[in-house]
Amino acid sequence: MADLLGFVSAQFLVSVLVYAVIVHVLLAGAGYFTYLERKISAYIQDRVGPNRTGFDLGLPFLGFLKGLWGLGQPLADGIKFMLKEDYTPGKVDKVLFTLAPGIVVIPALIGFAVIPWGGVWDCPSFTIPLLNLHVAGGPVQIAALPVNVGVIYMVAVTSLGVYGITLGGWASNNKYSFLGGLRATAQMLAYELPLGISLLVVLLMVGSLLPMDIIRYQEANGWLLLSQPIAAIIFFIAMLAEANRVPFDNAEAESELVGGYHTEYNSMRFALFFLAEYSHLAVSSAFFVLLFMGGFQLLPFINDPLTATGATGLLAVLAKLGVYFGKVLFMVLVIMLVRWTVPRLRYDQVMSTAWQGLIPLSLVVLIATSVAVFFGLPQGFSHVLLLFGGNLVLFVVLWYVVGRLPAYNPNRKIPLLGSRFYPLPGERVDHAPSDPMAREDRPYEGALPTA
Amino acid sequence: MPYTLRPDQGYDIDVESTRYLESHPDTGDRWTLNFGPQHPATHTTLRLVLELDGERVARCTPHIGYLHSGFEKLGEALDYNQYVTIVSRMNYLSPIANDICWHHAVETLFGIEITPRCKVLRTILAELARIQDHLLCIGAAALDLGAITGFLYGFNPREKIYDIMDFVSGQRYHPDWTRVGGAMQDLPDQGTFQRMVKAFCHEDCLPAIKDIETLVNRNRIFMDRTRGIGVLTRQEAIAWSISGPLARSAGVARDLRKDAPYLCYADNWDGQGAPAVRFQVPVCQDGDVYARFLVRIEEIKQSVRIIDQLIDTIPAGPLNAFTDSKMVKPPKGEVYGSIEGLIQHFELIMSNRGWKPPVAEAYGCQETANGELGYFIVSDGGPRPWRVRTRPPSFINYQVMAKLTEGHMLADIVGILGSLNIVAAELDR
Repeated sequence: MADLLGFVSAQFLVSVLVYAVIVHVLLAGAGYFTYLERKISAYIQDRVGPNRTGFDLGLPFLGFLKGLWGLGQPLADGIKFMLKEDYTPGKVDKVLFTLAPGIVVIPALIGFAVIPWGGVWDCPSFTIPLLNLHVAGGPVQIAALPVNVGVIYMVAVTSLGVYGITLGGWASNNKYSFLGGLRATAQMLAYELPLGISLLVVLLMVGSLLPMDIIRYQEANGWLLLSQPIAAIIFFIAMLAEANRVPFDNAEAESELVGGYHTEYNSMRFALFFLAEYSHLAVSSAFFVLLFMGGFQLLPFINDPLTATGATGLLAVLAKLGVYFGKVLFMVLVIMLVRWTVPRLRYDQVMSTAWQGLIPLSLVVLIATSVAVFFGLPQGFSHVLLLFGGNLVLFVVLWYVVGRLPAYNPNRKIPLLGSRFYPLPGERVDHAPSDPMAREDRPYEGALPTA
Repeated sequence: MPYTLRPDQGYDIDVESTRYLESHPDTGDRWTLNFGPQHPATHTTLRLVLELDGERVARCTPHIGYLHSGFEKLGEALDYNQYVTIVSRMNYLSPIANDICWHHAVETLFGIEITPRCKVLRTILAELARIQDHLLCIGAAALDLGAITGFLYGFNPREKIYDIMDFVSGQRYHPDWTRVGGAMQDLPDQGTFQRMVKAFCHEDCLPAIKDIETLVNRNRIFMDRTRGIGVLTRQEAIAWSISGPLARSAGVARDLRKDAPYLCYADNWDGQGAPAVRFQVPVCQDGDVYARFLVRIEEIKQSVRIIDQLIDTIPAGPLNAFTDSKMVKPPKGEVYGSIEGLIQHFELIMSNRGWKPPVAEAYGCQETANGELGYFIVSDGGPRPWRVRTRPPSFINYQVMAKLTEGHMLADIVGILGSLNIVAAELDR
């Protein structure tokens, strides 16, 4: 028995436990993110939002659970999604149509595996009673998958979700869905680059792929948000685009493409897309917190005894979990505020933002960082000061230079030569106004009375 | 897709050629998209057949008629007072503007000069209707570009206008308040009305406008999405007979309130030398979606200015132009309480005996939120019009849709359509 279970170690048990806990927190959290989003949008828009769906389920003896600020809304939504008819439109590719939501949701639910939520726990030795299996103690990571490829795994896994979106859009046999899927693919390809390059900036500074090393580095030298602000902002923007959030939600732009890739989906299959979107939100926020906001460290430069990487007690682990979740929630809030504030970019503007803006900018930052790392950087507080100053100078220089580059008008109309509104040169214009008043271009002569 | 708009023979919807489609080889990016009539962005039931080159619109063909309800024909079956219930269903974003315009046309036909009190009330309500329409349009301009918040900022104050209409007429959405020579009833309480209108203007409308301006006016994404999109030049606007904010945003300084003044926009409106209300007509030269947005916002502010000039000095006196009681329905108390009232009510409702319209034609038009709204009435002397023809601004403004969109991207269609502020009920009638 003990031989068969030889793979069981303290790290294995903790990883399984962490994965089970986090995936459930994430599933419930995705539901409550929708509640949070509704409430935030309601407060921004002078509305009330969900405020009367409790947990009473319509049963009289549960009457005391009525109301509760609408906290039962996600549950009610879930029940509704479950109970609705799982309708498949005719002429769709049934296999892919069914498979697509799963392909979307799985990467979103395994992406967070390498995030070290609680740092390192000094696990005591113990024996599992029934199996009579002795487990040796020692330091274990509070992460579902403490592998040494670390952040590479995250980048690899989180971009897989777009396969589901593309396949779902293609399988739906609907032009709007198809266009949404195509847009999602192109957008993912474009924004993977600035995301990866700004990640490279971090890796250059840290010199390791291990999430714990990134956090240790930020503990020693201040958060990378302070020392690499431009890379952090690029990463944040690319993250929004990867998660298909406003202003980059072209894949599901409801005013143009009805619902985009999920136009034809309903009931639980639609709910899976929804779930994946909000899980993706949490995962990318956790990724951002790991890379730029010091992971579970409470405040930069202040090594309080609970959230320092050196602290390995159970209390420290819980405190770190709390801090990490708090930061993730903060990032999710920021993303939601962005969503309810700005309009959507047009699709070609999304592309030109990536290829003409973010990618060159991130390359410049990467080169500058390489040079700085090559010549060596001081440690501690002066490290942050130096790099922040460097970023500022870079920003000002780029602002000056880019402002003087020849401007490109993204909104120019492509003249369709020879169309009914754009006649060929020398061609008779059928639509020329016969009214002489229309031909002359004189300013309005009537004097407008002034106040 | 085996769908083509222009088969080689025998199909005359569009006889003009788009040689771009013929001269440029199809590299596999060409496709046809049926945009509407069931689509969230085609505010009601507009349908556009788009021939796209990738995401670029190579050809846009608007198909209308999905909301055709025979409104014009109904005008021949209803008398001059009853038809007001139909016209207010045309542009349902600002229903009372239709009512006022319809009775303006009828009074032009009858040669009736309405009382100063009626003029002031109609002017105030017409300006409220303009605000009502523009608030929705500028909100929808943000909504169509993905900023849902701006839409709700515009929608909240509209509720207050509905409250005012409810107070004045008893109906929230379709007031049907005007009657020939006056209105269906006087204000229930003038003080309350003044308080409501002033509260709306200064506590709801202007702050909401400020919020929307702060949210999107200088927003880089909003400007990138709207500037240079759907450009209409001044000459084109005149040639296509565009009116309203569309024309003014293209540099045509035409506003019927200035050019053919009526109600309180005309000098000496009360017969004792009162000056016309003072306001300015915003004109923009760019003619793009952004210019239309700005013009509409400025018009709201000017409307508030007009209301401010009138609301404190609503003249006393009769509301209805008819001094004898033959043309006006008696109050309900008289109908139920006296035989004279009952007879008079019966005559007006059942036999239209009071009506003696001239055998004539008349055209009355007003500047409504979307542009020049006019009614051409042909009367044969009977109690009902012989023919009523509407000049709907939506219908005429919608002609430029294809011109504005071709050459732009798919996503711009939504913005352009929103900026034209097409109301399908008015378009199809």
